[in-house]
Amino acid sequence: MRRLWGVYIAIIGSFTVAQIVYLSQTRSLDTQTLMKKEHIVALVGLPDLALVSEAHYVRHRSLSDLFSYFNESPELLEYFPSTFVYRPNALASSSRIEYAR
Amino acid sequence: MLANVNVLLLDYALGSLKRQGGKSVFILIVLSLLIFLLASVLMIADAIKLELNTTLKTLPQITLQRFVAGKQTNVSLSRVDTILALNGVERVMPRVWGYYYFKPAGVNFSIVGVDAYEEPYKKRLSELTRTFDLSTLEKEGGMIVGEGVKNVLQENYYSDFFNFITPKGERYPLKIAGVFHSDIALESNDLMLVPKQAAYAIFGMSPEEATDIVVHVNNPVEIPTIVQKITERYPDLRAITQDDLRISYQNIFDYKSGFFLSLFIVCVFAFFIVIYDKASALSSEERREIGILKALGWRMSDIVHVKFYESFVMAFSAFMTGFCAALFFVYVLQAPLLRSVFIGYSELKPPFRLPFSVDVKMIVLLFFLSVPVYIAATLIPAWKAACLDADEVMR
Repeated sequence: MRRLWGVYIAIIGSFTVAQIVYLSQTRSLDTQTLMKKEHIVALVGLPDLALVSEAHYVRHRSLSDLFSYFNESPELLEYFPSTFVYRPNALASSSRIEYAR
Repeated sequence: MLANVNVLLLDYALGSLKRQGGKSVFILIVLSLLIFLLASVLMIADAIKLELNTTLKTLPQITLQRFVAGKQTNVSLSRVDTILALNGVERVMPRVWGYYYFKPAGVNFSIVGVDAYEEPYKKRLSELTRTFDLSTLEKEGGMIVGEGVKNVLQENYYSDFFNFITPKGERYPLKIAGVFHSDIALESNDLMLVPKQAAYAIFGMSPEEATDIVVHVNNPVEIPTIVQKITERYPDLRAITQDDLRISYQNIFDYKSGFFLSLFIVCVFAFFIVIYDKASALSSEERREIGILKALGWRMSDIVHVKFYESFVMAFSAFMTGFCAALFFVYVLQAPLLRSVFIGYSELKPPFRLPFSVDVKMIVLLFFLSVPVYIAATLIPAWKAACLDADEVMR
């Protein structure tokens, strides 16, 4: 029984290690793609990813403000599942608070 | 440490697991599934964070937005020269960008105005695009679109140009002069890169205004000081620094509510049902076993040892199985079903591969969330039973 368990753990362990090696060789970001990504972001200058484009406050959430959450109706319109997954951006504007002080 | 393992007790523990048969297999499957689900979600979230963080350093150091009555509005271009005159400011760039709702497909495009494709841009643009027609760009005024935009437009019979409708109700046609490569789809899928004057016309904005202003600073250490100077001069401007963006990226996922909360609640409940079953009361058979072992002369520490080996074998096997399966599911199969949760159901889904990276912190977190909790839940009732006298336990 001990041998059986040892074999099971060894198989799973070696499969995990093999996957990690294979994935790091084939599925990690290569320098060429990385450079392209950096270039496009430098050119456009906008943050966040185009994963979700239903609502402005999810597409460019880092630049959104309080009103962008209520832009489309007086009540908050949720877009399932994106608005349940991504957190609204922290709306505190540090510079404004410092000025008010 | 391995020398301290009592092989005979380990053998006995494995034999005991084998005797329990179906129950052991069931607990192993449930635990593995829980770890698999948690690991998959954390791996997808990590992959998205990795994508975000790779481009963080190329984002503007300071972005200035103007707020009137709490609502973002356009900034007057006259402020550019005042900001440029501040000590330490290297470059100030007014930007024109915004969203264009395309009703037939029900999607929002992001329109970004660039200074009419100037020389430095040309080479870079030809690297970033898969089809690039420079003559159309120069002569007729064209735009470069993301792959998603191209597909949506094509489905709506706009194969080589698109008619924008300006706020005045006029048509503003622009030719498609290029399409961004699909390997930068995550950054450009919904993007329309248009000349600045075209962006002004599409949005119906006055040429003396900009959507926001981007500031480049010579010395990054001076960013907070420059932000303070700008906001003191213009209190209606909100400054978003690169540091703010970094913090925003760190907190991108809403772990405390919504989808994650429901997922974690399901996982925690399932886990606690397993734990409760183990901890509430040992089955009478298990209690009898402990009693017989004590009557045979086993010490309390031997019994606790056996129970420790039993639970460790279960929890560690489940952890390894769940983690290995999650790696395969997320990075090799690209997380079917679960991936949709992060991408949504919009028409403009970007084609992308989840990039692989090993996050040791996540693995350690998963391990400590599952293995020690399960071991503790098994050990405590066993220890309680082992404390009693043999006849009392068996009675």
